[in-house]
Amino acid sequence: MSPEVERDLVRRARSGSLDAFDALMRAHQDRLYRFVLVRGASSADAQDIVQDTFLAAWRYLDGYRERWRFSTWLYTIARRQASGRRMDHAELPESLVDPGEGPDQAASAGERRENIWPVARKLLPSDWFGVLWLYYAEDRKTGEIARILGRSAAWVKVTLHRSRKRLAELIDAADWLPEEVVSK
Amino acid sequence: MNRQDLENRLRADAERLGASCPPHVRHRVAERIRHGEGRPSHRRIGVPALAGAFAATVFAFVSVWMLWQPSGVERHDARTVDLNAAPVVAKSDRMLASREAALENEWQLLERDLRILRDHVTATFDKNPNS
Repeated sequence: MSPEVERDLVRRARSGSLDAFDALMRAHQDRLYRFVLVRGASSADAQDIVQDTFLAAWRYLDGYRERWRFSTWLYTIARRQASGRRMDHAELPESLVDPGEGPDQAASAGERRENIWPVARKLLPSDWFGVLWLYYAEDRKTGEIARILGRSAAWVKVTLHRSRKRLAELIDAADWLPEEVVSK
Repeated sequence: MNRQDLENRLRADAERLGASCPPHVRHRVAERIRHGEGRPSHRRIGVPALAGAFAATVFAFVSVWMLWQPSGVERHDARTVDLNAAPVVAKSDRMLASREAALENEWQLLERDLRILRDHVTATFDKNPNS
């Protein structure tokens, strides 16, 4: 969805158009759902959080400032909605199954490498993983990440650097260590 | 693994992770909005706004009331006594009466002292006219 179309939908939704807001929800629901899932919510919790996020967005649409992307605003609301819930799943949920790693595809591409994100989820602290995810998976700038997570931009930059470094070190170590050593 | 490889892999692998939000979530939201759980069409006056308006009203009333109050000195022609010249300030008739009584008493004492002094001086000059 282009920024112009999105701005128009927001403007119409502000004037009370539920159709426009429905279009906005359709455009953002999957990524928002995925964002909540990777933060450690169960599938049921993630659905509740997405629902509450959209309701809050509708209610406070007048408060949205267009200096941020609409999705950034949604992520910020979702992060706040999620703060009161348990988000302690250390592994990425099964609903995030890699579409390219189904049994057929895996059989046809036996050499396909492991997805790095479940590894990152296990290896990194939750906050660090959140920064890494927003930067690379959601393509957010550091200022936007700071806004979403309620942190300073400096913290985001430092955390991003540390996350990359630690992940690279651990992956390099896993590459030459025997499997049984890594699993310990 | 260098940084470029890591970044490429992070981006590529993120694309392979997909999640599809069940459509009933969106339908439930739309349903709740239709049933009135939505954005108010007009801004409601919240409790903080009401408290602020109330405080401003009280402040305005108090300000006007204070402006209409008479000045502290009620009598500009208040009686003064020599060096003890001080305006007689009274906030009520009762205070004013007691203060006037006190001043009257002081005035009488002063007159008595002056009479004694005059008598003393007169007596002194009468006894020794050459001094």
